[in-house]
Amino acid sequence: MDRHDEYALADRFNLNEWKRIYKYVIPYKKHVYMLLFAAVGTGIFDAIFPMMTRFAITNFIEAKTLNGIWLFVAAFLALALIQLYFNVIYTQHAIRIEMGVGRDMRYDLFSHVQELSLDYFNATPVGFILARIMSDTQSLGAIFSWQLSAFAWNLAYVLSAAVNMFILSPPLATAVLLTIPVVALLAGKFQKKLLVLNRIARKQNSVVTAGYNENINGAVTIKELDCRHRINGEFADINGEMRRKAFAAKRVEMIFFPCIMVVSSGALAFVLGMSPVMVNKGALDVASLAVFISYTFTLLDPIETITRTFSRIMGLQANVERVNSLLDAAPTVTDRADVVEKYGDIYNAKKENWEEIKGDIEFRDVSFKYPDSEKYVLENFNLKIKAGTCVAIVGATGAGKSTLVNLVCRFFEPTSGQILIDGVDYRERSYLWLQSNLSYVLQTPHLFSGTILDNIKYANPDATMEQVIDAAKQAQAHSFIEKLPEGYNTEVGQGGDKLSTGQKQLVSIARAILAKGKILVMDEATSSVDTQTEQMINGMTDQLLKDRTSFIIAHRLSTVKNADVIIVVDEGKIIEMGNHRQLLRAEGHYYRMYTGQWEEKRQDEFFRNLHNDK
Amino acid sequence: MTGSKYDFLKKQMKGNYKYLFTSVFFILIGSFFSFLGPKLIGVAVDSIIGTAPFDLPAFVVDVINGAGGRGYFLANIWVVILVFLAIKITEAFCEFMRLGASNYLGENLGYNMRQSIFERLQSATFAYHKGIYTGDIIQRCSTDIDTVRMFVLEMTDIIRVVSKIVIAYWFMTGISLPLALISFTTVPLVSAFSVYFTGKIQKRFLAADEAEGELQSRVQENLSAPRVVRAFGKQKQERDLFEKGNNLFTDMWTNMGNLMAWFWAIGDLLPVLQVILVLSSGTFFAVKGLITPGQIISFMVYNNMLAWPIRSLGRIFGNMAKATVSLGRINEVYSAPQEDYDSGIDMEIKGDIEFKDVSFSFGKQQIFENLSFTVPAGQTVAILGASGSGKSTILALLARFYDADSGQITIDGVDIKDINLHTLRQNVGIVMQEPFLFGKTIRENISITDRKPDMEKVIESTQIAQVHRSITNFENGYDTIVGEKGVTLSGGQKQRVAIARTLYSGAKILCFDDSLSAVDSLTDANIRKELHKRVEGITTIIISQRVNTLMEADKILVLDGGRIVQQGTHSQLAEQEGIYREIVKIQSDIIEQTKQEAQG
Repeated sequence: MDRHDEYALADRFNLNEWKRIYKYVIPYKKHVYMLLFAAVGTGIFDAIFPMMTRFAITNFIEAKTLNGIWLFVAAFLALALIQLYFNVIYTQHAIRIEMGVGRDMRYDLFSHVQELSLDYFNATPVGFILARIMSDTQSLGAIFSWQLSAFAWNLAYVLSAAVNMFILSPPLATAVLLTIPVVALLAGKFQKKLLVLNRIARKQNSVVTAGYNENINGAVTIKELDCRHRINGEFADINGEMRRKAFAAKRVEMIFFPCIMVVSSGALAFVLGMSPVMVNKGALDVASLAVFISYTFTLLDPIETITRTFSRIMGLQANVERVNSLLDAAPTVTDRADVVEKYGDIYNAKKENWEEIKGDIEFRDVSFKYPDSEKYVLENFNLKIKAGTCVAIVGATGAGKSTLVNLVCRFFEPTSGQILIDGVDYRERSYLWLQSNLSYVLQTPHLFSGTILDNIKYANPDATMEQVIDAAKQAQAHSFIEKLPEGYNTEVGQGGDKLSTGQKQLVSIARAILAKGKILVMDEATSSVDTQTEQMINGMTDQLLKDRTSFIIAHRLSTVKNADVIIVVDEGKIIEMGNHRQLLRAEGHYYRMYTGQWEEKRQDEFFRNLHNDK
Repeated sequence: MTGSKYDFLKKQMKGNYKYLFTSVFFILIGSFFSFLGPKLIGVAVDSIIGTAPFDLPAFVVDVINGAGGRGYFLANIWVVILVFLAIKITEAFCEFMRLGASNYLGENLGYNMRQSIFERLQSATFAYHKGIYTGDIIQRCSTDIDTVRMFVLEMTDIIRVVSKIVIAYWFMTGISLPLALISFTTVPLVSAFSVYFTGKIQKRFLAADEAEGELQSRVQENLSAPRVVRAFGKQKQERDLFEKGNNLFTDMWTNMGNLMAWFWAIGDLLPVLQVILVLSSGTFFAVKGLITPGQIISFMVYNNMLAWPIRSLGRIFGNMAKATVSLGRINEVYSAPQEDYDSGIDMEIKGDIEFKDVSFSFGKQQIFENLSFTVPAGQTVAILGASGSGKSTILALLARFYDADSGQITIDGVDIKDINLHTLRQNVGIVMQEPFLFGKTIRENISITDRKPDMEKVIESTQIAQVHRSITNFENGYDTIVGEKGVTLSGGQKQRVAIARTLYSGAKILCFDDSLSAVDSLTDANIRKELHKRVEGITTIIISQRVNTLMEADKILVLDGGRIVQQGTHSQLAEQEGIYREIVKIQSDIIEQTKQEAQG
């Protein structure tokens, strides 16, 4: 299944895929029965109402008497109230099922996604997973409620109308009902076509949106290159394509509705043509004829609805497959059954069996390639890292600096060889055990909606306020937090966007400190922050490194000078390794990077001092 | 300049009024015919098959009687059928034409709005683009445009609904005025109920929508930060939080559903009550001999045809408010300040540049004061200065992204304000430090300024920019797609592709805005060497921090505090006391110091 294509079409109906999601309906069986009951009831009542008109005409108007009219009105009112009741329970149960099925599916999908490994997220756009969890589940929830009941309701209406028509006049009814397959076939064909065309139009719509996105982001470049006319022309092409594709779908509707009208009037014309004979023979009275005609009028609408519902359900095949495919996605990092037995899984951790971690790490003959690649980025790599040691990994952006950290954190596992933590292969323990012992600071400081307090306590929800403030102080975040009007209770907004990047990073460092992990990872922690924050972070690094085995990934070399081991990475491979002095003496890649950066820094300082002097 | 939002809509409607009028015309005809059908059936059942007198205008009755009266039509019922079919086919045809016209109208309107907004954005000023959020603009360009498009179509729906109501009552009053009045009493009631309901439920909808939005954000945050969740082993916590939000959202909708169930059911009950009312009063009238059974039947048919139009009135009014808001939001984008591409002279540009006493400030911050310098055609000038000293702003002024507050900038002696903006920008090529590449192939990116890409020229440009070999190393070579859907280029590769792109454009003045920063020194030197060997008479402005890059320039300007504090060639400046010499010294110092550091 193409992860980038939101609107991929399933080729054909596959019942097995549907059977798998059927289990989500089972808990709502009772509601489904009630819904069907109400739907059928509504349908039958809708079909009864025209009979009431006939009853009034025959029994009062033609009989020229008002005897019993109040009883009739009362009965009619009673029917209307029962109908009201049907309508109410209909909606209530439908929503109950729709939301319930949706909720349960969302929960399962979300829980499953938490178990997936990082490689899945690297290969899958967020929008794709989001759409599975949020909108596909909703569409499927609607199937078992609204679509199903629309089906039942309309079917009930058609059937009871058919019964009534047969009671009124069997030969006429037979003739009229013969048009049903024609309409159903016609409608089915149109609906299928419409479904495909609408999808195509929606797909083009996302092309238009992408066009806006790219060319608004690139607007300055477009000005600068003065290629506005070309870009406008290109947009006109995709925009015109959008109009053409949307219109293609509309054209089908345009032909479809008048066609249905003509077919239904054909049926009516037939009834009308036959009626003089029928009335003459005494097989039908005038009032019954009128009722019969009103059924003929209203019969074809429900049939059209039935086919539409049917084709919509067929159209959701792709959604079902996408949901199933997400549930089928398997994590690449998993624990063996006996490990789960002892240490528990991510939802039921058996912390009582967890060993204390010291922080000794050893790479033993580790070879590694990323799952989506053929190229080995590590081959027979050996490295012993004693607890408390600081390892720095440097290289240009995109050079593959994160690989070692990904392996240490068990976001990925070695393709061959072993990684030992405190002398034991880390696969002998659960990945949650390891990951619960990490303190991790990322390049882009992701915070979650909620308060600053929530975010600092993220890894350690039981921490006291004192501990939180202590961590914030260590991270030099306390002073800016205190200055905020709401202090620690300040809402950070989605992704923490109400704070500046620098502030976010300080909060995320406080979060890492409070996590109290024995292994610290600083993944380009200073690359996206301003100079001032960068200096603050560099200033606190020594404090952070104490008592921890740490990995510092950096682009700026001033941060890593004091590391015990510096690993230089380029194009995915380790090209140099040693401490600062050794690497400088080698006058290789590290040497060039270091002098280059120093030069820039000194120039900046020079210019700054120039102004301070004045 | 800034028109009202309705002016904007009028502009978009240009050329589409014919569809609007066609649509309205067929709505009116169609609505009329949609009532003729039931009328004919009613009369046929009543007066041809039944025996009641014809309930028709006198002249029609005359025609019928002229043709032979009831007996003739009863014997030749096919005539009635033909008339009926003719009516229905006309009605179907009207529906076809109505749908066609309004679909043309809608899609054209959508097209026009999307295109004109897009083009306005492309010619909006540089300052405007610096101040917008892409996400917000896109929201306006998609959702809001759609809302307005749908609404214009719904406007024609109003006509349909109203004309249906009017025609229905016209027929109904023709049958029985008192009965029509009774039926009509429910119209304001149902409309009022719809409006009330829409207003009442709106707030709850918004609240439930918000809960959904929050849940969605929660999921999005979780999915965007899988590394954080896993790095702290917080999957369970995430799931529990999600469960809370998921349940809240579900409960809110379910509760609202329970309420809506009543609203909807009552909305359905009202028309039924109306039917009961009309039917029972009709019965009274009929028994009293005021109307015939056939009349009752056709009256009831018309009455039933009213239920849908009346109920949709409330919905349309609700949407009208939404559409007005959307229209305002789109018009805001449409009213973005525009650049003037039309005026000014179109001239051949040689490349003599002069800044004369140029001052410029951003808001309160003064960037330059009386800046003056010249760049003779064909020469290379390098600019050195601290970050934030306004080096890039010089280029922004030269390309007229901004206009100077005072002073004059000339090219070949002509004030750039008098040069046509196209001419100017085509000749001033700026390569930025973090260039933007389009999600197209490398070939298309390089030849973006050209409708018919010349492959030879593309390769020549990439060879000068020292990126040809990297490109041919990609699996798909020049057809490699750049960006999200394709290959991610490194910073240095991006810069070099952008250089090739600007070379391809044939600009006479080439500006490098620190755009060699991600390229190593050797490649940097090669690019400059090739450039001078292969491109004749090109004027170059280089902004850089790297002395090696600046060294060979014909003239080096040292910028400090918004002024030029030094200018001259490398050898001249290296001999003078001043910033330049200090910077050169730093470089040699570092090499020395690093050696010492390595020894410890």
